[in-house]
Amino acid sequence: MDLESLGGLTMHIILSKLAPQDAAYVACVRKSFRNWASDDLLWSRFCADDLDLSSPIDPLGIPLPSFKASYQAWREAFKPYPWPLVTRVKRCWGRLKDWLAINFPEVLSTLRKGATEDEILELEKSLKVKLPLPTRVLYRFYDGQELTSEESSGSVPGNLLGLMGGYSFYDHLVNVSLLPLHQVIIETKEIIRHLGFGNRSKYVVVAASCGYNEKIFFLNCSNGQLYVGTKNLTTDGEMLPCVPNALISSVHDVKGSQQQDAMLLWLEEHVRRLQHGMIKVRKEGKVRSISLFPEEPPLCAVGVTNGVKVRASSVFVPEFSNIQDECEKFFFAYSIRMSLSPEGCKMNGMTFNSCQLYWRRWIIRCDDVIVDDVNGEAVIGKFPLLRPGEEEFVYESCISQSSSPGSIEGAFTFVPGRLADPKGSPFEAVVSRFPFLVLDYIF
Amino acid sequence: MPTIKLQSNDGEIFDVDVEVAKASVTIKTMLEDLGIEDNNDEIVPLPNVNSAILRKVLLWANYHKNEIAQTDDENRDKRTDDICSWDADFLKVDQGTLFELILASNYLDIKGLLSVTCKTVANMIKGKSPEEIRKTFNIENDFSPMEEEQVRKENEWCEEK
Repeated sequence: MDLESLGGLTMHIILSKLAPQDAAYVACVRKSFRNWASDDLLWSRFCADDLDLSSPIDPLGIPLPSFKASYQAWREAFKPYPWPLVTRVKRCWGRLKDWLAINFPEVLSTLRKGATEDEILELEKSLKVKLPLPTRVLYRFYDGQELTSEESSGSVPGNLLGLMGGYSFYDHLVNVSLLPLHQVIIETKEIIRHLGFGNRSKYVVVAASCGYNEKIFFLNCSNGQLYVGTKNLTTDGEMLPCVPNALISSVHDVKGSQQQDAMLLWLEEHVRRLQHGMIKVRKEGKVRSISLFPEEPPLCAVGVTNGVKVRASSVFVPEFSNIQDECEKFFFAYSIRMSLSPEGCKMNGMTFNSCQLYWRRWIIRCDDVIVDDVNGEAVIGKFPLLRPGEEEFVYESCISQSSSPGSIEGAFTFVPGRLADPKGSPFEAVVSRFPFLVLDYIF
Repeated sequence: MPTIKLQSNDGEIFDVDVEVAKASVTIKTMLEDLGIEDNNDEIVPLPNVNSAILRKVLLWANYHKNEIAQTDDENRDKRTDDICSWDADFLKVDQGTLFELILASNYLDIKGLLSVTCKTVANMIKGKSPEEIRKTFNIENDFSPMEEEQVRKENEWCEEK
């Protein structure tokens, strides 16, 4: 009795417990084994497990006759790279695409088709760098985003299509997109020269906001860390790392066991936040964009008083932070969203169908010490009138802090009815304490 | 405890707990179809299993009798590092016996035994080159040099860099 006499059906069970490489080696053993190991049911499973493929296609999306051919095409296309890294990057992009398809299809269509090895080599030659492996694989799948210059500058009405999202407060608008390789070359050359980094710099510009002068993300090609420029970028090249250093490993080592550079970790974390609803698409007027203001506790604080719901959260703004400054080291933007429940404003057994803000009290803490206690009329000069079930009134403001963590809590004084025509006595709607934190990932 | 009689293809008769015998879906169905009651003297013939293998199968089924029958869980099925130590000891047998156990568990439809025996074979294949696989299982290469070149090319992607 030998292995061959078990027959095809039993061999299928055994093969299904093997890794694709083992199944491929079994095919090389003997003719009958080759037939068994070519069973496309087997390869459809390998394609699903490794690549999330539901139909046999090659990396360019071209249909192939079998899953076996498809699996082979993918393996050959990514032969220079460790396969676990390839499947990890594929999963990351896959999750992002799924999220975009449901929540923001306009951004999905800005993704450029994967870069070729030649295009990557051209960049490396042109900028005299060696891209970390995970970044190379990321670009092999999608070569950044294709935005028209009007779209990326936000100068035309329409959606802000930066994949990495952003925020706005007063006249500062940030929306970060991933640059395609040809633009990485142009921007890097220009910015590196402008900053006087010299032509042996290992920094390349991989992501930037509208106009490219406000918020710029640099990948350091030798250590694999991602940096973002601060307020002092142009004067003395000050940058902050965007990903925990401890997580970055074997960025150039093909034989390493777990290659992860900041670019991959950063994108994975962003996708995680999107998938978990920690950050969402925000619609402001007719413009939609991915907003970096947290939407979920604990980073987003929620308070409800007499039917008035106030949600508050903040985001670190690296491009306005000044790490060398004692008092205004860390800069934050915060977003306050208030709404009235569909049941209206209820107090003392009475129901009012509107209420209007007229006073704000802010207790600002830095390292748990009260640094400011603000009392004043209105919010950013406005007296929002809330009606039952209407969309949230949202406003953004900003603050700088000498250290992190800090926080704000306070109250808005509302008048039932309208300011011009009060229907009852004023009440204070709580603004639960929300934190200012420089988190281990910076976006 | 109610028992039934099973007969191997070489004529040996085994008195077996009904519950242990029913680990085999094939036997369970046969009992139901033939309307054989517990403690009946009727003998259930198993023409595809010899006594040596049937003895081992029953030993395995007896040890695992209190376990809930395995469901077809794709993910768990893919793992091959979860063989319990009793099973690992039980399966320290020559290859011929191992393959016969696979055929028997397939014929008798005992999912747990089929799974663990196939896993054992899979573990003997894992990480080996085609030549090492041939050596392990004493298989002759029947490819012509041209065919071998072609099949090698087809599977080139999995070769060590």
